[in-house]
Amino acid sequence: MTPLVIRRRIVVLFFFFALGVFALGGRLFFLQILQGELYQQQALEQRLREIYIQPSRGTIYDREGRKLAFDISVDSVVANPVQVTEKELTAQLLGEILNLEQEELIAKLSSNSSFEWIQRKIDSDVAQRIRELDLDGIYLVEETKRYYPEGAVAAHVIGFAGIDNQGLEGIEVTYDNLLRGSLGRVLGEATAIGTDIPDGFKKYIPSRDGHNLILTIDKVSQYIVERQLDQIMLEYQPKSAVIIVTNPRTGEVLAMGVRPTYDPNTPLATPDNWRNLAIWYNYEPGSTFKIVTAAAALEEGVVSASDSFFCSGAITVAGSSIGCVSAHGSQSLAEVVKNSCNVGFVTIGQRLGKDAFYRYIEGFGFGKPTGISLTGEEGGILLPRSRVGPVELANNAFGHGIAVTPIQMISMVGAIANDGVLLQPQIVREIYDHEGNLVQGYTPKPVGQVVSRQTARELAGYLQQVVADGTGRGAAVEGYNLAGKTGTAQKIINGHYASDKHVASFVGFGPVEDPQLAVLVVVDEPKGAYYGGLVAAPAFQAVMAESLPYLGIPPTEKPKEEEQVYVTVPNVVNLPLGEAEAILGETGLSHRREGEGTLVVDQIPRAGAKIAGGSEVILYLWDGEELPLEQEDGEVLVPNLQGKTIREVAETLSDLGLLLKPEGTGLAVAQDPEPLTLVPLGTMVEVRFAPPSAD
Amino acid sequence: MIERRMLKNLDLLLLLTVALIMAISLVVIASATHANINEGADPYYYVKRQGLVICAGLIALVVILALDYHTVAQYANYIYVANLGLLLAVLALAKDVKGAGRWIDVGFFRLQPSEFAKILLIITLANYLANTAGEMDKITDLFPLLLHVAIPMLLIMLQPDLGTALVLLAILMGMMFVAGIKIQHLFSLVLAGVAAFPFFWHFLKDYQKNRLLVFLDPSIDPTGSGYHVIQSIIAIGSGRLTGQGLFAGPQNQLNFLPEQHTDFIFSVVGEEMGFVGASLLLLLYFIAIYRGIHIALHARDLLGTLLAVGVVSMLTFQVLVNVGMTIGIMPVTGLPLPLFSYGGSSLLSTLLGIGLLLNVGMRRQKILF
Repeated sequence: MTPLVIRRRIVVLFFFFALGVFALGGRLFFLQILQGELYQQQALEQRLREIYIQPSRGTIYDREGRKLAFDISVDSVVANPVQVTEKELTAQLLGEILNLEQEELIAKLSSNSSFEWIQRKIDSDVAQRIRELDLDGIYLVEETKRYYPEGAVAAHVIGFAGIDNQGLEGIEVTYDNLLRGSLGRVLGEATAIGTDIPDGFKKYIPSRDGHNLILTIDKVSQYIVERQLDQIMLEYQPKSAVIIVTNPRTGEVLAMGVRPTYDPNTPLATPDNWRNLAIWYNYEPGSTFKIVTAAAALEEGVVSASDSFFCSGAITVAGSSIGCVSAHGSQSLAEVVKNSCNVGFVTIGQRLGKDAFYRYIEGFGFGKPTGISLTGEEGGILLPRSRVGPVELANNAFGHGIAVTPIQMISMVGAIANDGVLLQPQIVREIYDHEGNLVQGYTPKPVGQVVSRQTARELAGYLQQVVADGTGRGAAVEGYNLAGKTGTAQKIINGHYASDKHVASFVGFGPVEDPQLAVLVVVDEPKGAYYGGLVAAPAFQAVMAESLPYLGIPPTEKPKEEEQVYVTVPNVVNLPLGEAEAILGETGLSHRREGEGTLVVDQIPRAGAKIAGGSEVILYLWDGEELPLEQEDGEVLVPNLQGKTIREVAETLSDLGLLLKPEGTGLAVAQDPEPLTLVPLGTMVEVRFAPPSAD
Repeated sequence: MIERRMLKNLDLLLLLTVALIMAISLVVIASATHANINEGADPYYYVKRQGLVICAGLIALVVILALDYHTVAQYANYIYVANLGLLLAVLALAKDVKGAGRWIDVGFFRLQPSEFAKILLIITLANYLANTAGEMDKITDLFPLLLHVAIPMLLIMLQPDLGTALVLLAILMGMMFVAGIKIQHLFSLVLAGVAAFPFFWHFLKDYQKNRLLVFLDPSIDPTGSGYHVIQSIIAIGSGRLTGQGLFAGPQNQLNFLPEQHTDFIFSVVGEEMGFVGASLLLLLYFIAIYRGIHIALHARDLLGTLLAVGVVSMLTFQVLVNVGMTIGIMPVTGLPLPLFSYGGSSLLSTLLGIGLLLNVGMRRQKILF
């Protein structure tokens, strides 16, 4: 037997050992029994991973349903750093392809997260190279990118969205909440390195796509405006120019063009051009403002058609002399308006008095924003009533000493056209949710009856004289009665009127009998000529001349021939020639053949265009030899898919009974089989898509 | 040689307990190495290897039983020299695995001499103490003892393998205590150790310092060193009373647990078998410790007692430190759970230790002529 002292020591040792084991047991009890639920929750939480599903942003259409802004899918490069085995090599390869800093990449690839953006929204060829590398832990994820198929057309109205598809300018930002939709989420279990567990816990909250907007903008009208703006920029090299076209009966803005402009696909290239001058720019209206003076005076009854006004070439107001273009002599009210006689208008202003005059100025909406749903609107500048003395009143009467925005000016003219009722200008016609339900329709928003119908009609008659036989002769369109007013204002530079800096403008509406269009042209600092009648009136004329027929508004004075009928061009592409000819005949259109053959492969104008009845449609024919005269049953011609979105391609092909094998993202750039190949039904058509290049 | 009446004294309960622990370990290793979902070449690779080591270990155990521990102790000097030789060899030949060069590659197997150093030291230390008959009245009597342990300990720390070095220290303390060290001397040694700690701190590798700091507060580095401990605690805690079920612990199966078939295997037990399974395993260890203590108490002589105490101290210290680490009450030192963690050297050396225990227990009766 071992000695007692040793036995005792062994027992003590055992006591300590037992104590240790019981301590472990106690700790286990604490962790597993007392805190178990908490840790179970923690374990679940850390392996739950939330994946967001991006909704697709609403599409923006013009009033005829033509796309102005929509989403296309592009690839973005992301990394799961935990899975990246060779950080240096990966960084080097990615850096070369994406033009990124090595060190920055290594830092990202070494981070402790399971998700890092490497590069967002890359070109398809770059994405292809990365796909081919097949690097561990590097992935391509599909994202959507905003695409503006018309480029700079109506850029200031539409605006643009940023890298996260958030609206930043224009309609894109004012209607961001509606366009954006709501994020969907998938909650799922994942392993420690972030791989999904297929049969693990899952919760799915679907995303909701954004609302679609139908703008009041008409793409064709907008094109007309853009073309005129380009012409003005070329001819007069002004600092800026604005053209707005509205429907004065409804307040709808049909076109709004601004120079300088930018391409919303690449907005960062020209950040100085983002500002929408049509609603932001405060300018001195000059003579165009005389419409307000005249309207107020007529409504107040301080002038009448039979009044006579004498112009000696100048008038003295409170000691200072105000000059006129020339000594107009004795004039009727109509002549004062027609001649844009400053002396006459000063007299009218004096008769009105400042209180009555300012009531109408404010009544027409000057001095505060119109409330059009675009960002960055200004409200014009009115002098405080207390500072309006006789000289200021006289100046205001012919449009000086006051600043207005283009949108205010066209609204005011719209009110004259609209029998005295001022409407709030609007830019959005209809809003649909993603399922196609109408969320909001269009209703004109009257601000108030500023002058009576009678006053408005009388003034419209005077303004018609301006175009017919006055300062605005350059604005006349044959066959239509148009009303308008020129404006030429010297700009104030450092507190003085600068003799070489002007704002030339023209504003008007038509046809006078039943006004359907109002147009404003503002040209800031044109070079060479500066009179509104010279610089702005021709653009007004061109816009009216092209828009009135396009909108199907018949000329007042019947032209020599019988009344024009406007028809919609039918789609005859991919039809046999005979059938196409028959359809065009039924529609009331003539045609001309281009090329030899029996199959129509293209047409001009395109389907959907509105043209005068009897107009010629050019049919391009297929002259391939192998093409059989008649397609056999079960065979179809492969259509030309160039430039279509994946969805459009998919719809087109499925309509024809063909299958789609898409490759890449964006718009169709190549296809196999080639267009117009005869293939059996159910043939697979390989289509390569690529995002449209930014330029 | 083993005689029949010795077999009568063989501690069957201890042997059964050890066998049961190892049997459970094979199941848990299978779960920890994802034998259920592995689609690799051989899902049971680890289980098979460990099974082989268990067989080899049991053979070694029988061999140990056949040798009288007195005979073994006679070769203590040679054993001590061989021990140092192996440890020096590992320093010369070691292949680097996770910052610790502890292995000698012998082809089919990677030998870890520090594991065997523990058993060898128990034998040589017990021999030394038995020869001096526990003469430790003067503090100077302790110096040769300390030197005896310090040399292999230093070599092990150089590898560096802090955990195993600490096991040697635990063995020394346990055996000195039983051999009759004066309590005031024991306290002096402990105090000296504490006082010397800042000095040793400088010799620790950064990752070792980090482990100690993280032990004090795992949240200082939740995705780094603290990650292991936090994930282990979450795993064990989420096991609750009855566990998530074998092969069904998400923390294990989804690889949130680190080193789950070696150092953190107890976390798998906790997660998949719950409080019931984990405390049952602790109970098995407790029975083994109890039987070891029983053997120490009833050993025929001081040599036997000290051998038994050495083995029990080793076993207990490792269980306490390893399990303590997985539940956040001990620092992460990289010690395996004896008889349970995957790894050949550790298992073999532990079985050799069990063999020594059984050896002593079997020969407790004086042979009567």
